[in-house]
Amino acid sequence: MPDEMVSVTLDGQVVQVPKGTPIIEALDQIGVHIPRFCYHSRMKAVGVCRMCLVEVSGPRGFSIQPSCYLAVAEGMEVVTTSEKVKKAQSGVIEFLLANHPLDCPVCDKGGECPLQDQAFAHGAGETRYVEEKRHYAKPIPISRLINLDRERCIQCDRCTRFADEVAGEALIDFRGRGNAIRISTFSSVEFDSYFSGNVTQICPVGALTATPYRFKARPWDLTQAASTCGWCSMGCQVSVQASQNELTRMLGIDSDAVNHSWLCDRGRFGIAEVNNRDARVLVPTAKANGIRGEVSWASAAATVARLVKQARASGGNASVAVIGSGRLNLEDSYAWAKLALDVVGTPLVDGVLGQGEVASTWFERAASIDQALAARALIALNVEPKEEVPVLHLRLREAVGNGLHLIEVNSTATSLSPMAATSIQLSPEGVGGLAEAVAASLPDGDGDVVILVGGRNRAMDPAITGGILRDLVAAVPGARILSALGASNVHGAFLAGLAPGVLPGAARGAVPSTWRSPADSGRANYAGILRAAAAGEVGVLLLLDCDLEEVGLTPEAIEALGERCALVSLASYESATTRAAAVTLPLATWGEARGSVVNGEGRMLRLGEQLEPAGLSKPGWVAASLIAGDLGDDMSILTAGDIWAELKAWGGAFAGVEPSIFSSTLDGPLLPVARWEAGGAPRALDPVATPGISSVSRQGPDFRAGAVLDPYAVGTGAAPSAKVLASGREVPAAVASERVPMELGVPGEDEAWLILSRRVYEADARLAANPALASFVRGDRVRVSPARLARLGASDGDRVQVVGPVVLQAVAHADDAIPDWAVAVEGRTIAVTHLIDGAGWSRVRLERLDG
Amino acid sequence: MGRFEGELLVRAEKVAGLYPDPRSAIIPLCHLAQEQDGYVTEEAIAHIAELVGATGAEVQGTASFYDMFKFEPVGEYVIGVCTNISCMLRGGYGLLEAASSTLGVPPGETTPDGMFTLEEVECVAHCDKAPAVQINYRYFGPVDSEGFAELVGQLRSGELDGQIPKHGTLGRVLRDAPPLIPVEEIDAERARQDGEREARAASREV
Amino acid sequence: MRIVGARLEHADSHTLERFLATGGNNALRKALLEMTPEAVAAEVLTANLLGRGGAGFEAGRKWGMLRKAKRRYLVVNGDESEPATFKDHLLVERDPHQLVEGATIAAYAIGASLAVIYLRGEFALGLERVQEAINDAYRIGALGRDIFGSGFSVDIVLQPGAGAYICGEETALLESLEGNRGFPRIKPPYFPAVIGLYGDPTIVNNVETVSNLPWIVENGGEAFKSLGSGRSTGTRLFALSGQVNRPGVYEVEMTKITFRDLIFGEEFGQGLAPSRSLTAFIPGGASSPWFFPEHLDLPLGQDEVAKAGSMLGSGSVIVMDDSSCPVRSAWRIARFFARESCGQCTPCREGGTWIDRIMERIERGNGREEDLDLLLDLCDNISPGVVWPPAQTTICVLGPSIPPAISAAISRFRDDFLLHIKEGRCPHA
Repeated sequence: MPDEMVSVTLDGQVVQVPKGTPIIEALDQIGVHIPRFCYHSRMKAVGVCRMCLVEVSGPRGFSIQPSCYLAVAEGMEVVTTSEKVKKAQSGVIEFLLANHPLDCPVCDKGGECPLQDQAFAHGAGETRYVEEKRHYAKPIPISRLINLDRERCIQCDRCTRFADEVAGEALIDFRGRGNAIRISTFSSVEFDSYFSGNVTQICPVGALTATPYRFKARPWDLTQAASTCGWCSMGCQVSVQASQNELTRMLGIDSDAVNHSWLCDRGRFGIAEVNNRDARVLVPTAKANGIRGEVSWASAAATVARLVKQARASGGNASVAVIGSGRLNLEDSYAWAKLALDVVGTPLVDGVLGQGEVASTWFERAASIDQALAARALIALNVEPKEEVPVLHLRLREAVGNGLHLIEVNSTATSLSPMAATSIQLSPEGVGGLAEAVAASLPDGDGDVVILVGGRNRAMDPAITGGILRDLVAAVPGARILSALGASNVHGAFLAGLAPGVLPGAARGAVPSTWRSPADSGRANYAGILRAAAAGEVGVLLLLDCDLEEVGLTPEAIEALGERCALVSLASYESATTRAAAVTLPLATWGEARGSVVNGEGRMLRLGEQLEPAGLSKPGWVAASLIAGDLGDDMSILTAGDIWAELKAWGGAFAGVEPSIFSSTLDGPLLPVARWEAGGAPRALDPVATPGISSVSRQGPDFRAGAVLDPYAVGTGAAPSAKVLASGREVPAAVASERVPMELGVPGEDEAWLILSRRVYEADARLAANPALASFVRGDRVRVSPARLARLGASDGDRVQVVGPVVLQAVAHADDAIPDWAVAVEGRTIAVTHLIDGAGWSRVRLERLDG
Repeated sequence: MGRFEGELLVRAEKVAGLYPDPRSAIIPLCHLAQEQDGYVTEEAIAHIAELVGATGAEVQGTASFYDMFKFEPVGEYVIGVCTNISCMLRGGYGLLEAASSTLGVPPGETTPDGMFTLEEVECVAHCDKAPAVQINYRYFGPVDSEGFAELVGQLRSGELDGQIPKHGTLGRVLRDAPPLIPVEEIDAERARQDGEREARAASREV
Repeated sequence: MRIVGARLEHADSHTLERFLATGGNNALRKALLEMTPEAVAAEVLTANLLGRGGAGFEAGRKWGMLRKAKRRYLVVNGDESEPATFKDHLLVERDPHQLVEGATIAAYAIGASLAVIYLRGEFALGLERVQEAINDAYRIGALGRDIFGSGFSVDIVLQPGAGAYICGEETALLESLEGNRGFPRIKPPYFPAVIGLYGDPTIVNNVETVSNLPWIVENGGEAFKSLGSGRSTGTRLFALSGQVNRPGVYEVEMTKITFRDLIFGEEFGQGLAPSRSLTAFIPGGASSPWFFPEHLDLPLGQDEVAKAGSMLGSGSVIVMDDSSCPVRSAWRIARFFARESCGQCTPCREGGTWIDRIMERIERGNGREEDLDLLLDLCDNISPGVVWPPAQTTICVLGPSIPPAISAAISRFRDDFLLHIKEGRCPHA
């Protein structure tokens, strides 16, 4: 529906603007920047700071009005240059400065402060304020991450609006009245929100600062690059900033398609683990006589090649296996896919931890985030966005507020439940009829139905979700899918061919001439690979940024596995896996290498580079290329550009992909490019909306004005053509179509199905390496229905033990929200994942501990 | 202390049910908290937040906007001397000084025995009795320094007990009415009656 | 002529017995049993009842602007806190049943889903009296379900405020009633009649306005309109205070007497203390521009006062004689508004306190000559041009309520200011 346009006169210039546009934005569009503090285009205008006053014509002539709050109307005249306007604006600046401390030299915001900048531009040179300024104790830590300086605060209401309106967690609010009004938490209740860092980003003064960034750097010492957050698959667009080869800060870029400038704290403060050299794998290591020792890259690569050759010699191609976590970027994933499928020729490749089935249903029907949020109905399947793709939770809240019809399908109540029109329980018994029940609950009307699918319950094999997803797609014709599968590049790994049953691009055409004859990975599954490895059927297990503790193996089990086969770990962080590995290869991590990822809507997004890789770390594709070379085949991959050229040659998802595709927008293209309608003009960067971006110098092209960012130097090799191989073999269909429904079995009387919900703060090796966030892991907690607890002869608060492959002891909480068939477990350490028994949907026994 | 208990909890739940949106009960419930404890405790704020479905920060944000709510213990009698324009013109500031010396504490403070808190207050709408004094929101005026000392004496002796409850108790008359009629019911009935009237008017026109 | 104050001659005017013995609820029965809601509204429109809260907007017209949504509310504004205004407290304490009757009539006329009487929290006695009156009304069938068998049902809830002047501003009052800080809402929308309580259309009427309704229903809009003259119809309560011999609330027919009558008349203020002369008076509450002796012969009419550059506002007349210090008076008014600023928008939050501080310095003898220009310039930055009616850089009119007193005092009593500065003390102290 085209916007209705109105004609307005802005400083004498007659322009056509969509009806409803705030005057301030209409002025932005013609290049007239009105000073502002409280206005933020992603929140409701409140017009409280009064900085943006202009003269607006009305029925009774011109009056002074806030240009952020008033919308344009037909025939409206706006004057921004009159003496009256200048005086009003300089008056407001003077009022704001009256009580503002003159501590810019020691203020973190100094140099990128909208108040400082606008005081220069619109204020008088000297103060007329000779009275005593307001004084408050400062700074006050309002959380483990955020500090509040009340003296610097200008009461613009941005942080409080964000907390209430955007995050829905009004844990900070104004307190007091009038001149004494101030931001406050309640009593000792911490501002404990997954989204708290956003308030430091939008604060237009130095009142709210992030503890990890305090006194770290001055804006003029920073460099920055555009990138994509590496924590989950939302694909939030960020500016990553560094100083002296250390990541100092991450700020959200206002991507219209993705994150609207917001980030979650897990992502924003994730840079602290990158900087933690003590936790990083810095040099290649190899074990000799059980002792891990430093080796050169050449030696490590040669060792891996030797191990691979030995395994193939004794057990064939299938004695080499690959498991990845979905975190390697697209280029690395592609190179490893080529190495595994084509050079080594193993069919045992699961780079997405079992989520390939969901991904394969997803891609052909992928919906963009915008499409999902504008759908007739959104079906949320086994997903809690707040815990898995947190910023999507923010966008969902907004969409539900605007009338999105949400149907939730989860095993227990989630943060979606209060927003959902219908909640349908996902129970082990009900898996069969679930799709019909969901379809029956759909509201009438036009428009797409979109399924949002995730991996909320870690104790439930992704294949179960995959099965339900297929049923749903069958039951709701035309349904599209937005994926919230958690790992940052699980979708890119799938599309790169590093997943079961898929080749690069999920292509169905011809195999390009740069490949020989890729193995068919159709039946691979990480759980099966691990079983085979434990049974001694695998000679070399290549682990790509994958700590086996995260998928449920205990350190002892990993150690034992290392005895049965040679573990090769490509990793950035030390873990039980790197310690057990025969060879460990240091992987350049987020912020250390350029590249790209694909998010859950199938959008290709760039990764920027701000650091030298730590120690001897290298990008994953370089490691693959080195090993390939030692195997006698360099794969013709000498630069990242070569990979792009090959991806393009594969076609499918990557048909038409060129580095220049990023030039036309800040948001990356939806894949395949043909499905993507590039938006209009890039969104201009409001320097006051996210102050830290416009003031920091950049590396590479200027993205601050919304201009081009080309993440690659285009590869040296000419793009290979898609020649059909001599064999003429067609690429197999992306997904094996026949599937056996998963038998879940019947639990014993004292058994319950396990619910192990994903959390933002998972106690994995990376979080443990993060000094800013490690303390946010919650303690052990077991929740069960009151009835089950009563059957056990226990009561709320008693200690119990959960018995599975391991035993977890914790306090039991009776909770009505937990169905009787389930036990919900949260763990303080990663050990909780060891309860996963690897058989479909894990079952556990609950026992009462005496005393 | 703190959370509502017993009869006050019953009253609190009743108050929370008086509005189409329970958040409207925040101010009345803060008054109720003061009636219980003399001031609004943090525990009460947390309890009110639970009762109305808000966060503690929001309830605190609302409560702290209003002068009548105290967040630390005050005297049994909170005495306000008005110094706003009408009282000032008739000696309000002089009375405030006298009050301060009678009680031995400056405005804003509580006597060591916990009996009195003295405050300078804004217009209390008793300008015909200027300068006016407010004691736990009961009014006296015009008051001079002797009159003030006398009032304090009466408060100490308990003479005014019937007239002035201890700080926090505002209106002593409780709502005594049937449960609220659901607004939906009223809306539906009005729509029905409006429809009938319109139909009658239309039939007359024909 | 007494309308809203008719019952006040009786000491027990607040009791149900007195109320019923003096025609109480006759109007309510008449409205509910004999008149349609439209007919009631038509009488109020005919009466040209001007709002008695301060802005003086016609109540009938306000009702006419009510968006015809399914859910609507009536809110009676009894948050009387404007300095020197003390008429509503009299009505709520002395004739609460009339208020409840009037509110029920208004609820009927606009088809309210619920009515709320928001009373200033400090009115402890008023809260008791009005709650008693509400309880009485339920008991005798004048409130609640099927009132007097008319088929009309409505509830009234009594809501206490908690001490914030700004909640007298109708949108701040609605915020407060929703459980929030009393932050006035930004305009547009300009009228709660379009978007009010919980986002639904809402009529907000002042206590005195509502208290006039029983009389209007009983006697007809024409009878009300025949009192007073021009747009100023009926009677009004005037609250007289300050340096006058007999301060008090006086109900007078509008436009029929002058300020001189009110301040000096035998049946009203009875003049000033011996040998004192009047230097200034404020005609409509602390926020209105000051008047001086040359304005004494203006009649007490809305348009008459507006034409002379001030407002009748809440009908509160503050008298200053030559013993008072005009600097101190202006400072005290500025201090009040600074203290009562909600803090939401910058010019009022920062400017109000700044002006208060400067005025305090001058009054205490630490002023500088340049402070006078500074004061006027700060006033200009809150209320551009310092004109009447005021322009504003603020969200609501609280901030712009400061400049009238400051500019009046500086322009009329500049020498006084200079004397403070020169002598380093208040010459009146």
